[in-house]
Amino acid sequence: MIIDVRNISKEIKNNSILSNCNVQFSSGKIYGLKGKNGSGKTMLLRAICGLIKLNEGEIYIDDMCLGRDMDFPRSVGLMIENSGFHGGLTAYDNLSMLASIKKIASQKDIENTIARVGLAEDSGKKYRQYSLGMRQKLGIAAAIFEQPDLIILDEPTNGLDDESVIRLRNILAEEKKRGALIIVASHDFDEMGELVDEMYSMKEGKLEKV
Amino acid sequence: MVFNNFISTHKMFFVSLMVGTFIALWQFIENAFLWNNMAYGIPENAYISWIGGSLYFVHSNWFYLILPILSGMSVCIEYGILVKNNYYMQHKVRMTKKAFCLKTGGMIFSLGFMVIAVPLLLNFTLTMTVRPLLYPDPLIAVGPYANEIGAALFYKHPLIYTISYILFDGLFSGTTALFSCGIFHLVDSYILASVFPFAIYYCLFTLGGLFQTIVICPNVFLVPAMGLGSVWTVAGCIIYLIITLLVWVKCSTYMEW
Repeated sequence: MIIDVRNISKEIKNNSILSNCNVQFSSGKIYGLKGKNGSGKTMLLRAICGLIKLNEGEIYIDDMCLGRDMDFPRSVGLMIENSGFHGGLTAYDNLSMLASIKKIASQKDIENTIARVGLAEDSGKKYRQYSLGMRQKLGIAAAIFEQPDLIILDEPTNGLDDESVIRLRNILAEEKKRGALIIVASHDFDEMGELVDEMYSMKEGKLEKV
Repeated sequence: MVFNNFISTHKMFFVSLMVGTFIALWQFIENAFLWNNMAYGIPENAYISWIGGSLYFVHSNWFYLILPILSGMSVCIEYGILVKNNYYMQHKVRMTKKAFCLKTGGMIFSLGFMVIAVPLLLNFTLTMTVRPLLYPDPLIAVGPYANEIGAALFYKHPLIYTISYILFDGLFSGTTALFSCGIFHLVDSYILASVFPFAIYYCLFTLGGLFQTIVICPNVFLVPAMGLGSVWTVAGCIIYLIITLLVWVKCSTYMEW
């Protein structure tokens, strides 16, 4: 998979959120996106997922224009801001509900993913009883359980303890080995920096390679 | 997203359904089961004893007045919460925009339909168990006037008329549920969006009173016994459906969340 971001810009109420961003991402690599809060990282991730309308520019995924040839990337797992789960359901039920849409992940895939992110012990709890770290883990699980070609994670280490960060690093390394294209946005890459193949920095909507 | 999943994540549907069913059962117990009104030794006709048979019953007034709140609340509150916490974003990226619009819209419409159609059907079925299904008599002036749309059907085939009207009320309710969810994307408040159809409904009711016409009052023309009144009522309902579909398609497909 190759994602070609071509000169994209996004304005909201005359504020420039993304300004002439150009970048190319390809499979089997982990890309880091760093920048302060409000620098436009999340907006760039939302643009790559096809969730916003751009004022200028286009995004091509394998030579198909996002928004014209396809609504969203064909195979994407994402965790952007709060990941959106139903409070009254367990981790397994929430993932089963997502799995029922594409029907590509089996019951075993869901159980394995829950164990991979370290939620197996709490699998009986309902989402509303989860701590911030547990919610984050379920968000990561939702992004990877269908083994997507593109994995997008926004601030994945928020609320995670040291052990969980190590677990996340292992997961990302495994997903990279599988051939997935991974984009991770964070304001702090202290714990993840060495995993990243290419690092980009965002400042006031402008993207630069570090 | 399968229908069972959708229902299990929209628990307010059950609350709305219970409120509607409670009013429908209350009306049945009080007006059909306990109060046995006889005329010449014959029990009153089921077609005028059930909740949709007349606006004479206080229960009918309540049921048809709060209909848009029940329809709006049934889905919109939880839909709004789940849109705000990105739950629907996770669903949307796993399908196409068109599929999301059709599937989710269809499920919202179905829940809105059931929240009104089920209590009405239950009330009518129960009433049929204690009251005879006699042909309505035009001379007793209960039911649509002879010049109104559907009057011929009511006096000739009252059962078909009644079932059709229950379906019509259900469709109106489904449209209202979909309208609320579409409006939510514009007003960004699920409480406001849930009561918005009721505000319009009440304005029309007030205007109908001011201009002394019932053809624009939904809480009157939705009652089977009152009939559709005029072609303008039917035209209004079709326009409402078209506007709702446009709002839903625009908001669920093209708007940024």
